[in-house]
Amino acid sequence: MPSNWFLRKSRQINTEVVANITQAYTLSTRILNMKRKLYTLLLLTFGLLAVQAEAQHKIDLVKGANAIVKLEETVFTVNSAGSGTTRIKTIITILNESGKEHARLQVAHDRLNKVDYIKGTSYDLAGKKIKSLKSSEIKDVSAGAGDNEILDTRVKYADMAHTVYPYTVEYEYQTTSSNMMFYPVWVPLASSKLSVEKATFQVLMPKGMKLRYRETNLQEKVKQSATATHDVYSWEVQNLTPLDTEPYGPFMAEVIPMVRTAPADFEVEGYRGSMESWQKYGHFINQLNAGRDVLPEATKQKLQALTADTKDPLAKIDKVYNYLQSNTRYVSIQLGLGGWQPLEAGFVASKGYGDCKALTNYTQAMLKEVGVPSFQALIRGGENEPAIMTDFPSSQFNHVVLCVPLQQDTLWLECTSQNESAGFSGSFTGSRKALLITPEGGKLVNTPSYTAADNTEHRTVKVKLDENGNGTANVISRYTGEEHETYRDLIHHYAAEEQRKWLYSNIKVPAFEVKKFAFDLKKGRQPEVTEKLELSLRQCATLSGKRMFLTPNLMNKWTTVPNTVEKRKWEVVRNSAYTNVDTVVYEMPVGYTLEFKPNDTEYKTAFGTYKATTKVDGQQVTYIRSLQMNKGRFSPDTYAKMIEFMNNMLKADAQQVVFVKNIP
Amino acid sequence: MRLRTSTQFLLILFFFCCSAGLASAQNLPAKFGKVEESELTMHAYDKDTSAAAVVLSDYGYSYFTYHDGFKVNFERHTRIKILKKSGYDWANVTIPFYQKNGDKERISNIKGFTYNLEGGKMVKHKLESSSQHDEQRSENWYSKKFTMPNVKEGSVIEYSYTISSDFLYNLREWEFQTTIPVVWSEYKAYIPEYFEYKQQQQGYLPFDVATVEKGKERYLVTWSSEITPGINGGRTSGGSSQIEANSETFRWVVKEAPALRPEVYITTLSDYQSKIEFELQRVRYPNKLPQVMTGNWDDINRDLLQAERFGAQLNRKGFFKNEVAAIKAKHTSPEQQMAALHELVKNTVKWNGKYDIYTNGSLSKAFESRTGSAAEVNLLLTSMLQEAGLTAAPVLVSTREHGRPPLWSPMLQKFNYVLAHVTVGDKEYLLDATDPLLPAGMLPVRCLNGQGRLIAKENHRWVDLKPSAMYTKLFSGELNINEKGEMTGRAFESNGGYIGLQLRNAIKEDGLQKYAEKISKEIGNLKYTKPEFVNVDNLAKPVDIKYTLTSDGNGQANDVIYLNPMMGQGKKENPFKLEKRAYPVDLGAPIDETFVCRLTIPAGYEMEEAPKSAIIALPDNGGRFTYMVEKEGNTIQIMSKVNVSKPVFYAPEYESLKEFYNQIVAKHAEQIVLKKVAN
Repeated sequence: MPSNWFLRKSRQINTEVVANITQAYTLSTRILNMKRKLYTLLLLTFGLLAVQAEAQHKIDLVKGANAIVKLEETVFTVNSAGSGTTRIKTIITILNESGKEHARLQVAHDRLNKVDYIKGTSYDLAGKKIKSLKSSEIKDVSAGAGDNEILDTRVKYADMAHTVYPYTVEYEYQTTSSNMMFYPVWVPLASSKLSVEKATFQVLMPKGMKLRYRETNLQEKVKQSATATHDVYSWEVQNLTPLDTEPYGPFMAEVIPMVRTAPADFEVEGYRGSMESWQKYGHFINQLNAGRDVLPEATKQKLQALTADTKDPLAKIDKVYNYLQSNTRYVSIQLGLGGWQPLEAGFVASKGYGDCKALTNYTQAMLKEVGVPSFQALIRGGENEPAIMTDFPSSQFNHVVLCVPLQQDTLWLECTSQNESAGFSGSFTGSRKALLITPEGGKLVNTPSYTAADNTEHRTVKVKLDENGNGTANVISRYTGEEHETYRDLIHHYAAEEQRKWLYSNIKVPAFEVKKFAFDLKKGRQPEVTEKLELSLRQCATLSGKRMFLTPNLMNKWTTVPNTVEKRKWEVVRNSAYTNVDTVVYEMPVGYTLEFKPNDTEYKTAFGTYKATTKVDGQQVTYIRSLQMNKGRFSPDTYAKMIEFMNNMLKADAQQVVFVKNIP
Repeated sequence: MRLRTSTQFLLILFFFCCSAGLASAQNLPAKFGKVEESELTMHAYDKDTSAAAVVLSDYGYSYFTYHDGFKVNFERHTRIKILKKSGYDWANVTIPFYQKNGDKERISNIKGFTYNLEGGKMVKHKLESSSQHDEQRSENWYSKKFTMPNVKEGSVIEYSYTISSDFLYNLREWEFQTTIPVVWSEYKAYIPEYFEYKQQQQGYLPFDVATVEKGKERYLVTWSSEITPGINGGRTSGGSSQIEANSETFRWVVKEAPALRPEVYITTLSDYQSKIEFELQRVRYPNKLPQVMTGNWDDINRDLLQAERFGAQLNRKGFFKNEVAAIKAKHTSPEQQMAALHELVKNTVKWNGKYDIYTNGSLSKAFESRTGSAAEVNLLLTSMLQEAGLTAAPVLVSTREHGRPPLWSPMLQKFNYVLAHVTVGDKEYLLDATDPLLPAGMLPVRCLNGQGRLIAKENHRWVDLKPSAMYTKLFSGELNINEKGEMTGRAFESNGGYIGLQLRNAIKEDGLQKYAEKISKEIGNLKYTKPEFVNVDNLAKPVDIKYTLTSDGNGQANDVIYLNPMMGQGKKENPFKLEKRAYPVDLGAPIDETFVCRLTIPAGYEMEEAPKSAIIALPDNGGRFTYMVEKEGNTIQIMSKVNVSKPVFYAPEYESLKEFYNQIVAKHAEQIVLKKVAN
């Protein structure tokens, strides 16, 4: 799980002065990779869009588009419970250079998914053939990325890009799958700046086999017909114009036309299962896992010895989890059915590594050995992931964690992390549904949720300034919940020198030096990080003649306001909730008298609550700012109010206290 | 490039196969399998206590063998101490290797162990062959991946492998430094007299050992049986023979190399890494004339001008005669012709994003298909310029990400890009037609990397890749302020050089309308609205934007008005925050940012307080900051000018650069105070 998002964050340099100067981090710093997504339902997380399907005639498909899908036909034929064939024919016109990605085709394959053929032809504006795709032009490379990923997924890709626009590319290809855990998800409008003239989707089910499907945002519902051998389900969309993105919008997957399909009964590599209910899905997973929890004798003895002195389940869990964390590491291994079936516990015991399934299965086996029952829980892990569709049992997961029911409550274990606190789920697996795999089958349960009260930053700063406005600041900050995750990762993955650099690029004070810094992580179900900083400040207060100006908000200013949107289409979606409380106490130089002090400010909105007060008492200025931001969904017309709220905070955080020098 | 060895050659000379074991036994920093107890018990690396892992020893050895052609072999033995969990990734090893046509790099003899201290005893875990996987990354690149078993905090891991390569041109380079500390890094290259490699060393670390030993070695040459057709043909039987050749053994050692850490404003981190690289310069087989592979610039220049995929392409001018003639008919001055041809190539042949100094196919094919690599696009431009009668020649360039090209040692592999050079009278121009938004004579930032090599029949030489443009921005505002502190007025900004280029790219990405929406918004009190764009398509001019600028007051008349006169355009943070800097700051191009504002104040108010004017200069004319506030009647003039005239600042100059920006940030934060006077 070592999520690495904060690395990217910290690498943002100040682009104000020397914007966009080529900077290079080309030497590969070894970066921990996020888990491979086992399941690639288009991870369309870049918010918002709009689909218009108004009057069928006279719709302008060119406006705002880089490419137009003239026709796309997808036919999925289920051959049996264990095999299916997908044939796709797509004709797409590329309008300009930005659309050239659509001239590329990528088809993934592995041991269970074969590519039968790929054909391609390109045409110029007049419809004259430019060229046909030669088989030698189809590249076939591994889909593996990181050093800690080993997988058999490969990608065949072809590129029919031409340089005179517009031109049209036609692809036809067919794949046959023997992994029937996955039926297609039909997404005709799969990217922004794309429009669709016509797209169709057909599923042919052998008579007697049931198709399950879930339709969203369609112009028309399914049409059913039949042939002698198959039941036929058909969908069609026409004239879809490009999606328009809006800041703080919903997930794309929520608003675009989509048909998800899934089997009732299916078979893969000799395992038979059903997805008709979550319960049955769980039974299938039980089959995949069966018999893979056998520990070597030596490991058993070690575990017995380790837990010999305690009967308390919590203490046992602690010891086993600690043993796991000090003896294994995460390596993604996805070979054949291994993408869905864990490596045996014995493998992990002897090699000391595995992926999420292997490590979770191993931990479950170890807990069982010391008499603590636990359940694997399938989950869609990731920050800011769309919630799973609870009403449509199907393969929607990309991760697995371990759930340990205790007498009082439940403890969740992330088995891929060598550092995480037992019981902390956080932004990667918290606040969502998980499918608990019990002997009675699958059950949807909630993972721990993290609210504004859990995700906090409390900071106290003592500043002493001299007559030039320079000074020192002693900062103590305490971070909890999701707010602590950045600092947790900083502690675990960065060396001291890199932490210092990170501080320099992330502390938002105009001019300062970091004199000392220290981080302290307190593990637990509600872990927290205490950060202590000693900063020297340059011109923290600015002098103009006889006046001294001080912006009392030292290091937590609101700085951005999203773009104005004239006619908001989509709901406003806020995915993070947190609380910040900053107290800054200044000791000002002697010889100055207060001239101006900002009024206390308070804003209460549905999006959050802001309060800032400034007290001046002789030489002492006390500034207290508290901000609570809420998560939730708000109606489109509230968007302007959110912008106003953010701009109000921006203004309030820039307020200054003014002192005048006493004339002796 | 592969060095070809002909059968004929083989029959004349019976050559060699050196015994690898012989030389590799001496002076080893570590012997495979012999892990010291101190290595297992160490908890931290005392030279860098924060290191997550440390390379205890890294040993590389290159040597030659012969079997149906030469091969260069590379053995590597690496031992790493894992100190923290964040160092676990060092136990997942990826070795890239290359295959092209029939030529290959082969990885063999992979051995590996993890050593742990368990209950005071050393326990060994073997790397199984089942933990090794091959992966194809692209058409020619593959990787061998392996995962070391049972790695924990405190583990010592050790692995070794051999790469046998058909590509003699590149004797394997050696990096003495990496992103974790390296205690002992040693490279040996055992090179027989037949091969002469040019060596390039770089980095900030001195060698602890750098020796050459001359010697004579006996080699075993083997060859396979072969049937030659024809009258004089017949079967040649396979066999072997021993010969003696002079050899040189180079040895380099760097001890205690610190971890290499990235910083901002650099070309590429690998420019600062201590390493040694090789390029085959000459092959001297006995009884044959020496074959020059690369050598001095005279030879390279000549060879390049004759090379099929470089100079020869420049001579085939038939296919664009009409286009060039049309431009010559339309424009008379050489400069106009140059600009028109640049425009023509830019707009007809798209850059496919590929970097190379050689063409892939012919230029006529690139012209026809309207797409090509940097070499194809700019060689085509060069060729057309020549056809038009201009003095034009190609220039070899190494882009910033590709690293600095060595000036002292001609190595073609150090270049990855081509530009066109034109001389008109006593003026010289560098042209790049890969980016439609680049005006003639301006280089993209990626090319701003030291010097390039002009390849011409006469007077081949280095040319400075100096930026002809700067990061230029002018802001000018004209505002009225009233008693309530409300401001209204107009603002104008002019974005030139690289700022203009960035802006044009952003507008191209979003479309003008979207971009205008994006920038017209309220930030704090200031509202920038109704932007009007001028010269977006006229590349020779800066992009101008005019706005309406307004600002809220606090809704009531005030006796005292505080005002930051930078109108939200001031520098709020120092881009150079770190106290120390190990590498030069490389900005690419100079910076020129000018801010002027005229503010009319309400009647009955006086400017009671104003920031003091200031001039701050960087040493050696490196830059200047000028700041001025002046009052004339009821208007206040504010002027701020930031000028950084050098694109590169060396590490000792860092402090003054940082202080320079500290002063700017401080000055830009200062306030004007307006006070009501009795009326």
